[in-house]
Amino acid sequence: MPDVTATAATSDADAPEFAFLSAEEALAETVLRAGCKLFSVYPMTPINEVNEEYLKRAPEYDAISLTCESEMEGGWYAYGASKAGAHVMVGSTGVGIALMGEMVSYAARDGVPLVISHWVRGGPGTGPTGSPSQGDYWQAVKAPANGDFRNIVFAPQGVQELVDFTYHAFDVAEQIRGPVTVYTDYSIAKSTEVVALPPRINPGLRERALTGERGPRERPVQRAEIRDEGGVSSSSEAVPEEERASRFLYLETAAWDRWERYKVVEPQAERYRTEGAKLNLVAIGTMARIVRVVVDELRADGLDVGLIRPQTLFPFPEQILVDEAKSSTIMVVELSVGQMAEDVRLALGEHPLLYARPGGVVPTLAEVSAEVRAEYKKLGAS
Amino acid sequence: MTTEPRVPAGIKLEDMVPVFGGPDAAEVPDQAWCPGCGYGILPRTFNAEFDKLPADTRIIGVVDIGCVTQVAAQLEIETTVGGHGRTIAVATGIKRILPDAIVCVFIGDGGVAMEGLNETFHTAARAENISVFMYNNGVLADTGGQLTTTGSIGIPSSTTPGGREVAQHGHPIPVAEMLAQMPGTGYVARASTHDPAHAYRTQKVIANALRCQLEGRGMAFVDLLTTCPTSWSMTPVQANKFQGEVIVAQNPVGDIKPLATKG
Repeated sequence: MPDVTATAATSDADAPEFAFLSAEEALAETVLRAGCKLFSVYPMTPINEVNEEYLKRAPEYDAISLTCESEMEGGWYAYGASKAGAHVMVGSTGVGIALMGEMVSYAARDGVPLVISHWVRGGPGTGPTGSPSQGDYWQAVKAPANGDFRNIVFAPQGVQELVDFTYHAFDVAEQIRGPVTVYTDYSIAKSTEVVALPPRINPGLRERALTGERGPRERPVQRAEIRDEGGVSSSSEAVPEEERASRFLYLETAAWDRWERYKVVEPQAERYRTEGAKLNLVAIGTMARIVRVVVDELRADGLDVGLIRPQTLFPFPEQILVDEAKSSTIMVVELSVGQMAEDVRLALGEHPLLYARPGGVVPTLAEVSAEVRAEYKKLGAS
Repeated sequence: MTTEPRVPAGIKLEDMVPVFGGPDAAEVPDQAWCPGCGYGILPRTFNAEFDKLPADTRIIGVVDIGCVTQVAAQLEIETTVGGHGRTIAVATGIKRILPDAIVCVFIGDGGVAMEGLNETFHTAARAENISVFMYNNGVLADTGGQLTTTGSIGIPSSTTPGGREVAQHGHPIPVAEMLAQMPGTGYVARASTHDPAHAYRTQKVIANALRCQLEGRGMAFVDLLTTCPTSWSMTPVQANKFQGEVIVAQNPVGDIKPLATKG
């Protein structure tokens, strides 16, 4: 994870630029600074507001925004632009991301770098505007679409992390040559905070891309090879000559090559006051911000509780949870039915405690505090 | 694949002068299409037209899913793929980043008139400067020959074994005629490959579609009528005859929206 403040502060001229921005403004400014050349959007709150901010700034960065006829086509514009070598981003809420699923699956297969700004309004169906649900966890983390692939997923807790993670996501997308999701609660979209903005970079067009240059060309025989043309995907270089003759061996090697690339991303989580904790709460995004206050309140009352906040959801910070579980009980607090709790269970090999509030409801500090106190009391009793 | 030229008796090979040859690019490996497929004749025509462009012209082919995918192995240009029916949207993304490249979409009638109908019309509305070539045989041949929405009345397919009937299967969508109505298209034409005279004329149509893009006149769209003897359950000869007598009769060939004269 890049520490923008540290890297930018090498000289006065490079001193971090602080601004008081809404999440929509901050995200638009960030992706342009990261060198995003095409952003395609079908209006849906809040991504339409990001797009409006992007449109104001795009001419200065020689970037394009395409308001598209649907999320499906918009996704494919971005796929094409990325194949031509550009940094690209798509964004929507869960329903719109579902429509892009076909393209996301192809992008994973074809080695096409792509950043997805996923705003969570929950569901099923179109979640209500204003709902700060975390109910798209499985969609974003587990099954963005069909096939053997994963998206790398970052989970910011506020505007600063939205900026930092999205900026970093463009690099990660290039490294893994596939889709990277920034999974953000709707409530963050309506936050305005002071943020340190990252430096402007102009990455230009990627070398491994379609150019259209003519000349001697190795003719693709299989469909799998056709899509690897232009050097976009690494499959064609990863697959040994003898395997190229078999479509299935080719695809198997390409799949393992893809899984190998995911390893460049380190699982990451923030640990807050976990030292000596008997009960560690696991939460992300908006829920983590509430839990953080509860932890402070309970610590002041002498209860040994802490917060573990996953910042990457794939890869999931399993080892950090396993380490903390050696000396504490783990309790998941989430704004969905227990979706993230499944990943915690997989990490621990047993069910964690769970306080789940689906449907767009955000529990009050008092509600969370009461739940945690009750569970903490039971620990003492055992 | 090269074969020894056959030399008539009494004439030496070195005395012979080549009077007709294919474009260099036509030396292609074995093609994957069925015997008698109307697709097979087109790559040569495309390659000949690509060869006429200045050598430094960047050309990118975007090929759709279906039998048409195999065109990538036959063309002497860089190609890439996209989802079924989505290649016109992929081409949009490529063209917006590389506006100087000639971007051509090779797509079947299923891609244009079924899965990708939305993409097709919105791209035309935006006057996107790309050339779209629809290989149109009225069937989804790659999946076994099911009727597409462009299939002519009477066309046999696995889902219309007795031939397409309006009462049962509805009317074909006249995509080319509809696109010609849109201000964003610069050139719309239809051609056929069922006999040598028609096949020869496809070359002019393809040249116009490329010129439309070079001159920045908006989307060029060519409806290339092709036979599919396998899906139509016909011999190649029967298929060519059916195409001439039934399909071309319902879908007249020629310029539907001529390329505007320069200026």
